[in-house]
Amino acid sequence: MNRALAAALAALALLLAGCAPSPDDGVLIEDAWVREAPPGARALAGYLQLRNRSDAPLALLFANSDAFDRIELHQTLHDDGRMRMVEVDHVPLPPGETVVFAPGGLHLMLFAPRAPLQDGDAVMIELTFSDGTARDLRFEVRDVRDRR
Amino acid sequence: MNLPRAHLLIVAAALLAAVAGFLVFRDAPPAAPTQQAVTLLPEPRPLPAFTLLDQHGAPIDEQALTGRWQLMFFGFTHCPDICPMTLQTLAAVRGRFDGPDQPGVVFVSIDPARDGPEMLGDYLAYYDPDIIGITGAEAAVAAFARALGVAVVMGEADAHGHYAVDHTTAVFLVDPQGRLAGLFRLPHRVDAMARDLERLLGARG
Repeated sequence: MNRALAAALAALALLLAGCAPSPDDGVLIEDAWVREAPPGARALAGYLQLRNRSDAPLALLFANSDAFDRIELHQTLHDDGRMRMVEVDHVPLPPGETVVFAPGGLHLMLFAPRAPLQDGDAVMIELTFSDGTARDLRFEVRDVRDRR
Repeated sequence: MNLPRAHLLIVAAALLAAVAGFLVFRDAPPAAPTQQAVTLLPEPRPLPAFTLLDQHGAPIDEQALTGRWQLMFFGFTHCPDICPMTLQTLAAVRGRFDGPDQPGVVFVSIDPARDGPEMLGDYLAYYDPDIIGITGAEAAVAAFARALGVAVVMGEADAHGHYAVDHTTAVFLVDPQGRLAGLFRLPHRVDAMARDLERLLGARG
């Protein structure tokens, strides 16, 4: 009886231990997508939302993918009627806050897709964070043209 | 005895005021005029003359931009964020109209070194094959942009040879006589732009 209970507890402890250090407890990632681009386009944009659920400040450092030549973190800036696209070194993720990569603002600049990407396709992009964790994330390719 | 009569008077007066108010205000225009998205020039002015190439590699000049309202903006195909958004918006605005009222959309590449006619044609056809693409010799494109007051700053190429081009986000409104009539600044919203165009078409007709 005691031994059975001990075994059950040990199993439970193992199970919990397996769950505990999951990176999901750090950053919650939602709505990851890539804008479908015209055929032949050499640069695409990826968007997502990152919520830092921990108590510590984090940052997104890099993005990598086999589906693209390389990826940079970019920010579209508007000043005085002019648009500028600048590369950012990292994207700070303050504790408890959600950082949104969205059209007209932050985006993953995806250079030279290795294969044509169409609506409904998916690409895997690995995100590396300042706490040393890396997450392999599925981005869905979306055609967001307004068809009327 | 007098009290109920006073009440009756007050009620009657209130009713009268309500009816009068209804009669006065029912035809009145809404208090605040709807916000316009377009900034019109006091007087339309001719477009700067240009001879460039369209996306089929054929020569194109300012005469091609007459006969209908045109929405013209400057961008480049290596721009994955703002340029697709703007093209999508303008294609959608165009889609709100039919026949001769339908505005044209003109995309001028400020990166002609990378945006040759073929590249531009494939890119624009994705949004709407009727979009007019303009490219050409770098100096000629730059002169046209400059004459319209379009600020273009070519970025430094990085280790991979990639560079960005900072550019004006305004959409230029060209009237059917081929004159610069005004411009739409950010944010570009389909509803607001379509509404302003409808108003302009109405004013003309």
